[in-house]
Parts: sequence; structure tokens; C-alpha cells
Amino acid sequence: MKTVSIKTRDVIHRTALAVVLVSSVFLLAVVMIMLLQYRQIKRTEPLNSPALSGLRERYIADERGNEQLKEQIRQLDLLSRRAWFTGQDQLYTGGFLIIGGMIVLLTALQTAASSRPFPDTPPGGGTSTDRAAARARTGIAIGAGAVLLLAVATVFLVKPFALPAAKARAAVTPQPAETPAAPEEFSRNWPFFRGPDTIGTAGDRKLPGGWDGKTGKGILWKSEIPLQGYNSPVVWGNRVFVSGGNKKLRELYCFNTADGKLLWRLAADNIPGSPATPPEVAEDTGFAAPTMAADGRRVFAVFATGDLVCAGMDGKRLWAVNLGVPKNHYGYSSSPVIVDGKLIVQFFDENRQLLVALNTADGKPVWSADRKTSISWSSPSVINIAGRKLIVTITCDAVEAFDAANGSPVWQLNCMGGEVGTSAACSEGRILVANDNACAAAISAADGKLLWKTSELTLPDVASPVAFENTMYLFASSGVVSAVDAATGKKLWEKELGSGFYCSPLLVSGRIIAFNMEGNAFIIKPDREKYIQEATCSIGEKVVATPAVVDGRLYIRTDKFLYCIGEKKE
Amino acid sequence: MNEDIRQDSDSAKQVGLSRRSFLKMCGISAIALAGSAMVYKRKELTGTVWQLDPEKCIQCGRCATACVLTPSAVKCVHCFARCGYCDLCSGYFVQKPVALDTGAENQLCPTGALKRTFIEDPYFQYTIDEKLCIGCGRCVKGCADFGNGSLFLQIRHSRCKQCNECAIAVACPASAFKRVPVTNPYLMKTDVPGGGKA
Amino acid sequence: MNILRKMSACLALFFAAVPLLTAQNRFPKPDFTNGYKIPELSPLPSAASPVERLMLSIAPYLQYAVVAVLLIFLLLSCYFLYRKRSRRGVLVMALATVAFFGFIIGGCICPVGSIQNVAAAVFNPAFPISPVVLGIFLLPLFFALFAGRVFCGSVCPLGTIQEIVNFYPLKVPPLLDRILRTIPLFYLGFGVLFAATGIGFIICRFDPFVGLYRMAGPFFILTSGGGLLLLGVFVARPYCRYLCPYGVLLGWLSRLSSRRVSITPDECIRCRLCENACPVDAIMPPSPPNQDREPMRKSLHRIILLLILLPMTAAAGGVTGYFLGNPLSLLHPRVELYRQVSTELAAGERPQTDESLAFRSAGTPVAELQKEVSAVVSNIRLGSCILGIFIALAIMARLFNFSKRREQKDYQVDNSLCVCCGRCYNVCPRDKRNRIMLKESE
Repeated sequence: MKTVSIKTRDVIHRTALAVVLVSSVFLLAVVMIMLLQYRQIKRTEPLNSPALSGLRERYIADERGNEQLKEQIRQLDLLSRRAWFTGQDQLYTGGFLIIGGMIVLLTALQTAASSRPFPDTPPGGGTSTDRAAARARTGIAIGAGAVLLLAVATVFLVKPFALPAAKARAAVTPQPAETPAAPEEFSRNWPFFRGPDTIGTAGDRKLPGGWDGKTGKGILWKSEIPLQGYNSPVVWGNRVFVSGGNKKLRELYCFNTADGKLLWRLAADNIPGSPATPPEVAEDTGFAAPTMAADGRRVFAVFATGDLVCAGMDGKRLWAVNLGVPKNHYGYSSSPVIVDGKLIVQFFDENRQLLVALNTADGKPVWSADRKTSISWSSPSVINIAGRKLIVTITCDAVEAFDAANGSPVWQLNCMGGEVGTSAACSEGRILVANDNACAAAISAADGKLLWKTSELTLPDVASPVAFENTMYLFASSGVVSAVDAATGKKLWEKELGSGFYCSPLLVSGRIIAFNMEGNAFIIKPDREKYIQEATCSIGEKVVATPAVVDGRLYIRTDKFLYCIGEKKE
Repeated sequence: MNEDIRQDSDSAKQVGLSRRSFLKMCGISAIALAGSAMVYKRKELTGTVWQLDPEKCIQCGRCATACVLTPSAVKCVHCFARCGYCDLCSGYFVQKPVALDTGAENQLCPTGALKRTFIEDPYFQYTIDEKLCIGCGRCVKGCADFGNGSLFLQIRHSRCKQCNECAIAVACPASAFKRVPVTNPYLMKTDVPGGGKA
Repeated sequence: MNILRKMSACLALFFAAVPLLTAQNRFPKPDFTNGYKIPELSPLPSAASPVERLMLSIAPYLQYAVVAVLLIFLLLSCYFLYRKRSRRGVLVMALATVAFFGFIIGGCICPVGSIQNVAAAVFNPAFPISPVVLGIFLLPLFFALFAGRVFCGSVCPLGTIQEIVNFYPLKVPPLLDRILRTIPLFYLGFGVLFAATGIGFIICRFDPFVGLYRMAGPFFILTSGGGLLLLGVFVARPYCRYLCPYGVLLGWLSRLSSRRVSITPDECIRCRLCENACPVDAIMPPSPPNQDREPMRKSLHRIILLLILLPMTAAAGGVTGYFLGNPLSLLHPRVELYRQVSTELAAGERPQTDESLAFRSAGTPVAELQKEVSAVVSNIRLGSCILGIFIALAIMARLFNFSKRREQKDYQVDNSLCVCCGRCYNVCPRDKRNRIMLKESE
């Protein structure tokens, strides 16, 4: 091995130290420049330049066509991009400069170190072995103790993590100890579209006296509904539920029956599978045509997007699903009903015609009837026949009945046509259907046999028929009201009433009440011989939704408002 | 720690050595056992590389910022077979563009990496300039929300450093990053959503 | 107007969009009339760059090559250290490591980080681990059994970068040194726990030097790497001594190694030069004559005391670990997600974070996440409890080591601390090369 003289070693040592000095200064400078550059890049990053995005927003929002602004955007965009990319390149070059500088520095340092004079023997004796061991023990104990203290402090200082079990479980899953509402509760309230029995007959309920939208007579309260919708109000206890929606947002609303105050609203958003762009709907159907359903524990709302939301009575969302986006040229409009803890939803699409029953507690399907039929805009009705609950649906070509318990088809009758928007009525074991461009027909509820069928009538296309004592009453979109013998299908009488009916008529305490498109309510005494009008009142606004009648009060939904009609309690 | 290694007396030395060799035997067999057990249990003989599953991606934009590299190793890829060649491309244009041209004020891409070329009326082809792409996924989001979803993000293995723990995988809100066999390192989109092999 | 027409046509198409679930595209593939052919992909990852294609085709073999290079480097280091007794050779190997395992490979995967892969694979059968990673993890340990920590000296990319900058090693006060040396034990424990329970690979996340090798990385990591290197000029190998978790494993195994760095090839003259030169304080002085030492029974008493304390310490460690499991589980991403989602759902809010948005739009039931999270939390609790016991035992073992009476004749290295840098060779006056130099200078 070659060795060098002491003198040469010394020269090498000094030179190396000089190189060390120069290269450290160089490295320091490069590092400083790179740090500045790094800051610059972070600032001009094309992704988050607030100046540029601000200009863009301004340009697109209100100053479209402003040539000067456009030019400004283009220049700023180019500038920031150039700055960003050159900055990147410079950083990269800087990295290599640092590596180069480091190599020089390290070599110099190495040379300096290896040319250092040979060390002299250190003075004094070494540390005692025992002392060193004692010190080591102390050190280990202190180190471990410090970490132990840190751990204990963490345990005490970090808020105890509310383990998912306790708090969140209650929030996520509904209370298991709930009892379903009794059938009497259903019939006392107004849980569905067309009342508790889903066929528009509401038994002995007091109808309020007269009212007038212009003078405010008889109107207890009037509340604005934030979003528009053609669904009808449903009432449970002291709450009224309606939904509303537009292209952007669909919501559920709950009003207090006492004063009309909006108790809560709940957005139907962030539902898995919900389409980013809602389907197109006709203006007179809208996004919230289906009426909500309530079972006293929860409320349910379906929208034209196929979103189905279940909320608690307190407005907390319990579950939500997307049933699939209904491809429907007017917009989805079938209202759900609840039978024995199952939410029955008729879902139409050009490809699929489903009738599904979902568990009201969690939205899990209980049964599903997949059938080949056509689309419709009508809602399922629940008919009690011979101790069995039937779900009766009308599609554009058939009337069908399913067993509510398991969804098995009971009968099917192909007698319809056109575009069906009306739902069924029922009287004396006969299912009564009527739709414009199709027919009016009576079907035996027990076996699905066609009793009669006729097209010689002025048929409705939106308002569903209502039946009373062997008579079916039809309220057509043309404004013609007619009475038909439910046993034979013979026309009994016909009456022209001006404006047309979209709102389904209701039979309350032996009177028929129906609103026409002008907001006039006709209270009619059903009679087989002639048209008997008992009263007419005006709300002064277009009424499409079917009203709800509970506790002597009438809840009417118009385009923008929810009215409560009744007598003030003194 | 500073355990005695060489003892004074010969006898102690022997005892020390035999104890050590016994422990060493234990150590060797433990290492060998652990190694062979793990190799036996798993059949993954090929290595793995990081990749992101475009079907899980929610286009949050963190790929551009979370990668240890700047610009990120994630870049946009275009599956032409799925593209609709739209004039109003929601991956190319900002929402409600003033005009359908290549002006900076109308473009979604912050770096101008998406190029638009005319094919025939009314179709346009969109290609990605990989040098400019920073993997922010804005075009991907636009295309996924309103288009066919033909644009998607992939880790480019020419850039990826294959960190033991991918920094973007840690940051990814959709857990879209996973390790895939090195022999098949890309997760491509095909001509129809969720469709078979194209 | 033409533009408007086109726009409205496109918009109409938007609305007519078929939902994705029908496996159809919103916009159908156009029929081109001018002969345009639809390209496959842009850019084509498999065909775009020949370099990438080449890299991809050799990638499976490249990984095995890395293991082979590791083996060769380890063998060469042993050769330089034990056969040639050459500090210069060790340094050359260190430089080669910085170049190859550092700048070329890019830092990943290294044996230090592979601890976590192995831990994750042992506790989670679904975690993929290739024989390559296993080899990288086991090879240095195997060498440690026979030849001490040669890996640290010249084959570890983290150690070598500190080795080559360490020019003016200063002595760390012995007590402080001993305190700081307990940190790696905890780092190893938590690294394994976090990897095994799926919290994350913290050892990789806080690897200070990998950012320098890649010339990219988060600001914090780059600056802490630079800072450690700067510190490393004066304090030898700060990461290796006071942080490195792999060093703990290597230390344990290297105690069994019969081969070690023998400072002098000749008879020791007790000049204490090597003790001073050792940058990591691994050289132990010979024990003094018996009359200068504490009586034998004192150490015996200490050992008895330790044995009595042992079960209590283990219990304390276990209990602390169990309770620490609760705050630790907050670090797990799924637990955090669950917390976020459940608070949002309880308040009826829309998703506030990207994570919760992704989770909620994926349609996974919350109950499933809840089940997963409670499993994770109980795993972390159990793991943390075991970790507490383990660390308590390890600490007790260390105390035990320093409690028993030590007998030693010459200046000798402690194999569990020695990082095999070979600096002591350069200062020993009995070394052949130094003898020649000293003779010349006289």
C-alpha cells in the first residue's frame, strides 16, 4: 500500500477543506433557490389559482362575450401554466445540482477526513464498567418510563372513542322495540293517496263548512311549500307531509297541523344509484308526482328519479334506495301504499314493470312481482276481499290483482288501453276502472271476471273514479261529471261543470267532494237520479292534488301553498 | 445489550459457545420456518405493482397532489372505443361553455393536456398529451358525470416509483388503489361500462 | 346559431341518457363516414414507450435481480470487513449502495420497510407478499446471525447515506444515548402493530431518506431527511441508532454471531483510540481488576429484584397497551370513516368528506362497515395489549443485561451495537497499514 508523506497529507487536508467550504456555499445557495421555487410553484399551480378560476367564473356566469375578459383569461392561463412547468423543470435541474454538489462536498470531506493527522492517544483512564452499566440501566428506565407516561397521557387525554357499538348503532338502525300502528290509527289518519282505504272513500268524517280563498274565510292557515310538486298531502297525527322537487333537488316536508309551521325538511340526495342527471319529465307531472305514504312511525317518498326515501316522523333519514331510473315519458307518478309493514311500490320503466314490496323498517325487498305488461301512471290500491288483501294495479293494457302477502298474481284481465293515469275504485265486490281512450269496466274482485265494459261515457284521464251505493262517479278532464250504474255500466246522468278535474274525488260522510282545475270545490250529494250540488267553494288557485280530510279539517295543496281549512276552536 | 461475548476461562468460553450455537440454531430454524411457511401459504410468485381501479375512482383530484412525485405518476388514459366523440364534450369543456372552441376560458383541463381534433361533422376526437397531464382527473369527472366515462386515470408505470406504501393509496377516499400482478399492470376500461373484454 | 343547435341536440341526448346499469353508453359509438378508424387507447401504455414496455417485460425478473444484488453486496461487505479489514472497501460498498439501492431502485423496497409487509402478511392472510419481499427481509437477518450487522455498515440505503456524511463524529452524552436507544424498540413495536392491524405503514411514511433518493416527496419528509443528514455529520447515524426498527431485530440476532469486528489483528495495547473513534459507542472497555468493582452480591440482588418486578411490569405493559388500543384505533382509516359516516347520518347531513361520499355512494350498508370497524377495534386492542407485554419484557431483558456482572479482557465490540463501519481499523496503532504510516512519520 502506497503511503504519502506528512507534508503532502497536510496540503491535501487544507485543499480539501477549501473545497468543502466552496461546495457548502454552493449547495446552500441552490437549496435556498429551490425552496423559493417550491413556494412559487405551490402558488402558481394551475389547479388552484384563485385569480384564474375567479375570472373564469365571472366570464361564464355574467360576462359571456366580454372579449377583454376572455383575452385576460387566456393570458393568465398561459402565464400560470408556463410558470408551473418551467418551475418543475427548474426544480428537477436543482435536484441534480444538489446531487452534484453533494458528491463534490462528500469527496472533499472524505479526503479531508482521511488526510487528518493520526490521532493521539487520549489521556486519562476509561469509564468504569460498573458505572457504565448503571448509567445504561438509568437510561433504559428513563426512556421506557417516558414512553409509558406518554401512553398513559394519551389514554387519558384522547377523548374516549365512542365505540361504534353504543352511540352510532342507535342512530343508524331504527329502534327495535317499536310497535306498528294499529289499523284503527290508519283509518283515523290520512296515510295514503286517496285516503286510508286507497280508493277515495273516507267514511264518517266531518267536512269543514264553507271557505273562500279570496277573503280567507274558513282558512286556518296557509303555508308556502318550498318546492313544487303534484303529490297530495298525507296526514298522521299532528303532522302533514308533502314532497316537492325540481331538476336539482327533491325534498320531503313536514308541517304542523296546528299552525302550519314547517317542522322539518329533508333532502333526498346522495342516494346510491341516483342518476347524476335526473330524467326528463313533463311539466304537468314534475319530479314529485307520487304522494307520500305514512305508517305513523315513518314516512316514505318516491320521486321521478326513482329515489325512495324513508324518514322518521322527526325528519331523520332512516334509509334510502334508488329503485332504478324510471324511463317514463311524462315522469314517474305512482304513489306507494303500505300493507302490513310492507311498502308497496309500483315501478314502471319501458323495460321493466315491477311491483315490489319493501320492508318498511330497512327497505329490503320482501317480494317482487316482475311482469310483462305496459307502463302506467296509476297507483296501486288495496282491496280487502274475503279476508284477503289484494293489490290492484292498472296498466295501459291490463288490470291486475296480486296477493299483498307474497306478491303472487291472483288474476289479470287485459281490458285497458290508452295511457292510464287513473286508479281503481271498488264497490260491492266490483273493481271499477275508467280511463279516457280506453273504457270503463267492472271486474269481479274475487276472480277477475269482466262484468261489463263500455266506452260510451265521458271518461276521466287523471281523476280516479269514486263509487258509492252501486254507482260510480266519474270526473273527467273536460269538466263533465257523470254517474254510472256499477252493476250494468249504464250512464245514469251527466253534468257539464266548466273547468276540468285532475284532482280525484273523495267520498266523505256521504258527500262527494272534488276540486276542479280552477280551484272550485263541488260538494255533491250522490244520487242515482240527478246531479245534486250542495255547495261550492273556491280556494282561488289551481288544485291538482287530492285533498286530505282529517278531524274536520281539509288539507289542500296548490302549486305553491298548503291550505288548512277548518273551524277555529274557540 | 453489551453482553459478554468472550469469557475469560476456557470452560466458560465453551459453555458460552455451546449456548450461543444452540440459540443460533433456534434463530436459523425460526427464520427458515417463517420463510418457507409464508412461501408455501401463498402462491404469489410474481411481484405486484400499484394500480388504481377506474371503476372505483370518484375523481376527487387527490391523485395529482398526494403522489410523492410532482407531477403525479397518475395520468389520464382515453378509451376511444367507449368515447361518443361528442361536440359538446363534458370532459373537455367547462359546464355551460360560452363557445365550443379551444379557448382557455372554455377548457376544463388546467394544463391544456386534452386535445380536440375535428373528425367529421359533428364528431371530434379527444387525445391526451401525456407530457402535460398532471392526473387531476377533472376531465375524468366531467366525462363520468355527463358522458360515457371513456376517460379514466391510471398509474403510469414508467413514472411510478412503486413505493412500498403508495402515498395516493393512503389518501384515496374510495380505496381504489390496489396491488396488481406485474405481468398485468393496467386496469383498463372497455367499450361498454362493466362490459366484457374489448 | 349552428352552435346552439348542436348544443341543444347534445343536451337533449344528455337527458335521454340511459342509466349506466343497463351497460350501455349514454352516447352511442358514432358511425364515421370518412374512414376514420377508432384507435385503441390513448396514450397506449403498453405500446407508447419502448422503455416502458421493456421495463414491464423484465419487471418480474428485475425483482429477483434486486435480491441477488443484495446477496452479492452482503457477501462483498463481509469480504471487505473480515478478510481485507478495509474501511475503504466498506466505504466503497456504501457508495455503491447509495447509488444502486438508493438512486437507481428509488429506495423501495428495503429490508427496513419490509418488516411491515411481513407483519401484515403474517396477521392478514389476504395481504400479498412475494418471495422477493420475504428474501429482502430475511437475508440481512440471516447474515446478522453469522456475521453481525454487516447490512447496516454498507448495504442499507438508509444507513450508508448517513455513514458517508459522518465526518466529525461527536460523543453523545452516555445517559442521553441510552435513553434515546429505547426509541427503536417502540418504533418497531408500533410499526408491526400498525401494519398488522391495517392502520398503515408508518415506517415507510416517515422514512426520511427515501424522498432524497427520489428527489421528490412531501416537504416535511424532504426537510427532515436533510436535517437528519446535517445532524449526521456530527452525530453518527442518528436514524440507525435512535429510530431504526430493523436495527433492533439485527441487534438481537447479531448477538448470536460468533464472528465480529475484531479491532486489532494483534495484541491490544489498550490505547483507547478505538473506543474514541467508534461513532456508535459500540466498543466496550475491558473490565477493571476485581478489587475496583462492586461486590458480586449487589448484582445478584439486582437480578432478584428484576425477577420479582418482571410479572408486574409485564402486567402494567399489557394493561397500558389495552387502554392505548382505543386512541390508537382512531388512526385506522376505516374507523375514521365510520365515525364520519355515523355522525353524518345521525345529523341527517349529506357527505362532508370525499371518503364518506365514496362510501355512501358505493351503497355498502353502514351495518357492514360497523361490523368491520368493531373487528378492527378489537384487533387493535388485542394487538396493543400484546405489544405492551412484549415491550415490557424487552425492556426488562435489557435491564437484566446491564445488571449482571460483565467480564471482559480487551477492548472489544458489542456485536449488537456495532454497525460494521470499520472506522476502528483505521485508528488501531497495531493495524498493519497504520504501523507503516506511524513508522514513517517518526
